[in-house]
Amino acid sequence: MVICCCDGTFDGILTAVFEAWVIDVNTTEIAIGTEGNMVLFAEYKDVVTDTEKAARVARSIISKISHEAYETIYKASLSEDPERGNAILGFIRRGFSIGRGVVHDLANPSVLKVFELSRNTGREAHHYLGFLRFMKHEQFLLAKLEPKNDIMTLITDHFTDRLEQENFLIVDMRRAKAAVHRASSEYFITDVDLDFVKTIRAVQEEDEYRQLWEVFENTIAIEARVNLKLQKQNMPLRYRKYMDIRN
Amino acid sequence: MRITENMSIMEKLQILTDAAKYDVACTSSGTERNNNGQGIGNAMKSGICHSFSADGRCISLLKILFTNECVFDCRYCVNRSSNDVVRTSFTPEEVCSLTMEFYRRNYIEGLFLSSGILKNPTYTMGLILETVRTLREVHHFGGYIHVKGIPGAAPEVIEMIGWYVDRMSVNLELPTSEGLKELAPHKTRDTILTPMRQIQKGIAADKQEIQLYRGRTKQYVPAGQSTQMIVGATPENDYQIVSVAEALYQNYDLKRVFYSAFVNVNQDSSLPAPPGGPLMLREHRLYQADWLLRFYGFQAGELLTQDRPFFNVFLDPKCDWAIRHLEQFPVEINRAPLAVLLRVPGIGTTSARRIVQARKTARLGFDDLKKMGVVLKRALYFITCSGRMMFNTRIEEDYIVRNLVDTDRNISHRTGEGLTYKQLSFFDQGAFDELIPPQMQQQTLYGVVSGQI
Repeated sequence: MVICCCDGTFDGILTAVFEAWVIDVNTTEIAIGTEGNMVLFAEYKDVVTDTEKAARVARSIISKISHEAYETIYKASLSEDPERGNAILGFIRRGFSIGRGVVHDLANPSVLKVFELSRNTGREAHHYLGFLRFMKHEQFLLAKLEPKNDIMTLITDHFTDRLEQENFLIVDMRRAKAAVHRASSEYFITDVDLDFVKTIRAVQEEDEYRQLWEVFENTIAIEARVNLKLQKQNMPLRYRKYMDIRN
Repeated sequence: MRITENMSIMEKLQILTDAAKYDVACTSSGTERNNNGQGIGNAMKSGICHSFSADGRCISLLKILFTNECVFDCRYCVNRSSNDVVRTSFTPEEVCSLTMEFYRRNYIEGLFLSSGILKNPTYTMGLILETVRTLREVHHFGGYIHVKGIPGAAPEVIEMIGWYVDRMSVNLELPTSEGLKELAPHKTRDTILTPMRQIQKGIAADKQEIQLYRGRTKQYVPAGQSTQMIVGATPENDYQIVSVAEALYQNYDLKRVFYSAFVNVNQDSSLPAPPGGPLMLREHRLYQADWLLRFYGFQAGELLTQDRPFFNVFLDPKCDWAIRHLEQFPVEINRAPLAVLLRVPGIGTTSARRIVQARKTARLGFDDLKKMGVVLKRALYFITCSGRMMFNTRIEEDYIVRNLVDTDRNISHRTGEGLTYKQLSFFDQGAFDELIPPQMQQQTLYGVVSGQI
């Protein structure tokens, strides 16, 4: 058995899928990174991310399965689960076998796993569309987040459209990545160094609108119906770190 | 009535938010559009929740009153003219700045603007029109706007506002005209239903126009209409409320009906003050029934009748219906049509859809159902997979009811102290007597007591 080790990015996983196909897809697995338990009697092969190979796999997914399957695989690849490589490989095999119906074939364990990963990532991204908070800093708007999954690409389009006329910076504090948008132009995503993250962490906002918002949030609740358990269920504590408003 | 001059915007915000919170409409869903190229803002079809308040409700819009001055004197309302509270107003510019700056920081999806009645309904709606027009045309705001229609306002204003907003709603307040007459004499059925009809017609006419002219930028109330009813301020029963909701959906094309458990803010002696607080369980049952009407193909008459006009305390309306129609079960998962699957307790709209799609490629078993999100604890009494039931259960009322009630743990926190769940013996009627007063008891066919709660 061969185990291909990739770097865990979408392109990396697709490259590993390509390699696995070349070797023998039935007995190959995909692992993320070099950590984790080593398996006895398995041969480890390092896979270097190759965008050409990844693009070929992507094209064949879109044409032989469906665009929906491609999107589902993309979202699943953004999650942090170490088994995502294998699940995606199984999904693609099933998909090449039965075609576009694969996204509904939840009886298959790989398909189910990919579906669940994609859903979790999608849900977190949707939560962040609501919970992300911008603050006015110098000439632009700044937002910070610490997501479990790598959702930067899933949320930046939305804000680029919504705040098209604004300069903004969205920083993933966990992964040291930032999305940069200049007013009325395109955005790009870049890696940043840890000093930058430290500077950003120190930025606080003292703005009258933040105080006004606190007044609003605290006043809008109906006292006779207070239910902090429900509030926590709907808005888990892990999202609240950069929302600043919690008491 | 105290009117204070020179109030800061923070004080105004505090007062006018506090005055708006009993209007429970909170959605920002229903429209989809991209940035208009001139100012910030777009809209997402599903709506986005930006925060949740201490009562657990979603905060999606800046929900404020334009003014809490009011010439009406509705008995249930905290802003009624006979209350001695501090009165204040925003200016249109203040509302615009709050909306734009909150939106820019991603605190909100948009604005929810209601108002007390200053001078008269038409004058007040004129102020609201001025506000939304400024927001759209001067600030080029592209986000969501929900405006409340004031009963009795002139049709011209209603017409003009509709072009600037995403949703407009007029509150029905009370399900019957008798209730309305008693508690809100300045509002009549006519003054409420007339603008609702006008908005409905405006939306329908606009939809036809869209098909003729593509690429139009303005739409009339694209996210549709909604309304709100207060539950528990007047003695209407659940059957009446659900029938009114059904009629509204069918005859006025409403998108949503909201139910608001009555909170006795005025300590008014003519209004009920239930000891356990607002009637949360009753409101919950109404929302469950509302969903059944809209997404599960039920009719009001299937859920409740004149002879049985109150919801079951212990079972949700869907389980209740299933128990009363056991002759229609069990249902075969791999064959039954979608409409039949939707009637099984424990199978929701998403699971039903997944079942129908997945069974095209594979024969489904109970494990698969669990993975798809079916609540097997409930559903197992009503379904078969390839002809077999999950366990050898009896399809028999008492047995199933006892097990179903066991699994529904949501009851306790909604009923407060007044109602505790004890191990039930369904032949022991006396067990419930001390919990529910006799004049509100009502026997059902199988002996489970339901009553006004």
